Amino acid sequence: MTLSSEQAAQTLKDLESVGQRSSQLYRYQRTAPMLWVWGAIWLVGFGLSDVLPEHINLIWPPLDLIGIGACMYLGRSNPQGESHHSGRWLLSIFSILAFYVLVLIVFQPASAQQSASLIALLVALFYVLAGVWVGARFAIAGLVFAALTLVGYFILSAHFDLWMALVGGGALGLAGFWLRRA
Amino acid sequence: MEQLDETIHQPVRLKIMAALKALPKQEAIEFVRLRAVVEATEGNLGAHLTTLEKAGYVAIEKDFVGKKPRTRVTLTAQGRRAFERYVDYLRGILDGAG
Repeated sequence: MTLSSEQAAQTLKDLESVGQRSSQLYRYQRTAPMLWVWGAIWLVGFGLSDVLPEHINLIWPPLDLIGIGACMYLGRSNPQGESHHSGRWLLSIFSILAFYVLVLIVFQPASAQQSASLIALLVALFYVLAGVWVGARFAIAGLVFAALTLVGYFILSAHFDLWMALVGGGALGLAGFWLRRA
Repeated sequence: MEQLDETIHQPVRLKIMAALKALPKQEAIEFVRLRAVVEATEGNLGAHLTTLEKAGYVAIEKDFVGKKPRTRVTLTAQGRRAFERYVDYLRGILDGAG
């Protein structure tokens, strides 16, 4: 059996499309548990920040370390496969954190709400960019995180931490389920 | 020019191979997710997976998650090479046409 050049071109196009879809679903599936982890961290971190605002500097560092460690663990591939993903996750997270710290230094003094909003918006940006390159669901999730953060900051500033704990953390968790079910 | 691999050439099997090739090496995909990607019925997908498994192109692993049965499919090294040869064959046709 032989194929015409038109058939070959169409087949290659179809293969690329199937491959992209498969890769997209795989990334959704791998990212979902990370969103659950960060949803739980936001719930605990912002919840404690709301109750114990004077201890905010003690609340977040251990939670962030747990989140980073969990993302590294979840970002790793299977033992037989490629193993560079956890390193990429680590680099990505540290790049975001470094940018976050530098922006806070440049724009200091920043209130606790401002710094919390900044990191939330950076996470949202990360997902929007992932959406541009990988799949629309990431972008939609990022836009929702950004919108919720801005609503909390500008409209519900008196209850910002509680808002971010329940709505922000909840949205992260729900986004994880949404990606998982794609 | 190389011969066309008839095992892979079948449209659904070709989609299965493309879907598996897009994953990191040795990474498995669950049956239900694969079915969504290749847009095949359960019976049709199962039959084509059996053909690919007999050819040594995919490995099928069945287990349970709690009480729920789970079927996972992985592209073997042999399957990966066969798919790459098939894609080279298609590109060869295009190069010949140019």
